[in-house]
Amino acid sequence: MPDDGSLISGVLTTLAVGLLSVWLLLTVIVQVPKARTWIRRRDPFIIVPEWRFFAPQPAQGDYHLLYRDIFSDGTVGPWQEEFTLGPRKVSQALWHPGKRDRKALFDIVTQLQEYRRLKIDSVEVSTPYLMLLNHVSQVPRLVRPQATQFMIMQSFGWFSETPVLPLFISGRHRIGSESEVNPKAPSDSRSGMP
Amino acid sequence: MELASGEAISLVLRICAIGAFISTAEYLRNPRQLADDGLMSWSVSRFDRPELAGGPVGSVAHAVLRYPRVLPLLVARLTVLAVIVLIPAPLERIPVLVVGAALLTLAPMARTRYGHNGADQMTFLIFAGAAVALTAGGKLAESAFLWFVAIQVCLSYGTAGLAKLSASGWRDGSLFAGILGVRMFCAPAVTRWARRHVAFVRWGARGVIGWECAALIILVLPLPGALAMLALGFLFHAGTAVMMGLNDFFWAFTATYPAVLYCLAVRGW
Repeated sequence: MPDDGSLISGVLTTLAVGLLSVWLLLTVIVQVPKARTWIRRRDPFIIVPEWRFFAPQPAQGDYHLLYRDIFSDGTVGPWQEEFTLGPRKVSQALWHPGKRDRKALFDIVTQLQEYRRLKIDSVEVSTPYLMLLNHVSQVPRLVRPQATQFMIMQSFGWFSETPVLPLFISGRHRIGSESEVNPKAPSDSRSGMP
Repeated sequence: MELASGEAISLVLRICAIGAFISTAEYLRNPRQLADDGLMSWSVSRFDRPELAGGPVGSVAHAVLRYPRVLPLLVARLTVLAVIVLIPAPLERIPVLVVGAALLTLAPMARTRYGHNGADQMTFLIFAGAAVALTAGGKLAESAFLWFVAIQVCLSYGTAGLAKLSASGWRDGSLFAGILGVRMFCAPAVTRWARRHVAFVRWGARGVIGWECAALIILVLPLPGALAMLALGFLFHAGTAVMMGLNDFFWAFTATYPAVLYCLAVRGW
């Protein structure tokens, strides 16, 4: 690469130093709440990092995604959990392929909670809601249900005496094409607290 | 202590590439998370960002990032990272490799906002920053990259430390104890131990806050103090990797330490 004292070399170096300086400056500015919103709107890939590391309010429990199916005869199946937590192993210090599912669930639920905190009416067409609905709708099943419903619960860690808390329950959403749906089957699109 | 900019850059990139290689292999081990029904689904996430939902940019992104087309990209990333780790030649002379690593690191981050962490962001900062500096070429650009990485890592620890300091639950140790009870992060034995050693956990939390806040000024500390801070950082990341499974943070953040060492060496005192 050019390092010959030429004009091109000088311009490229100036551009590189300038770009790195601006990136660094944005990383400082994004820590300020008001500036954060402005930068985030223009940073779809989140390349300007916010360094938090469990601060100021870290996770104090685990989120659990459950779903249940509603069948054409009106029966409702039991709640079943997706992404059940496996045992923590020391080997995960080197190799931890399951960590992203849990982190994604954490991010999705955090965003869903934020939508609800802001009382945004359109939560059912929001990305976190659709992500969960899309997932539970496509879980492999032995018997095809007419509709499905999901729920987010929060537990509070090992040995906690605090009972598991339901955070969010979705409406019932039909699965499959209209021609397959029994019109008498239950359908309720309301979501919220159980 | 002498560390040439080229050597420091190679060390930063190689350590970072080891972590990114493991992370990429983890994606490929569990590809369902990237599938259309996964929690990192492109088919849903793309509509979260108008610029990716349609138009020419959206069409190109859809062609490249949709499942399962993203998998060959990950295999390519794995290959590039393996070359970065293993190739004996100085990496500052092969910027195309680093540009490739930066672009292929952006791919999973571009697909969705969910499932990523600070280690992914630091990895991208390192590869993209190096790509910019090495493409420009020259000692000044190399040095700027190393200062960029060193200041970023100081900033990362420092802002996290100040945010913890502002929370009373961190200062009294209760939030730290809470993290040690989270099943996603800790084994029950760790939780049990933490419950039996409340004072240790409280002072551990204060130690983390103190170390993170002090890291903001590593680059102006006397050399022995700065080296001690880096040693503590190494132990901190090794500890969180073993205890909490945060394996990628270990590689992404310790990769920045050669940059800090370079800056300490050239700062002039």
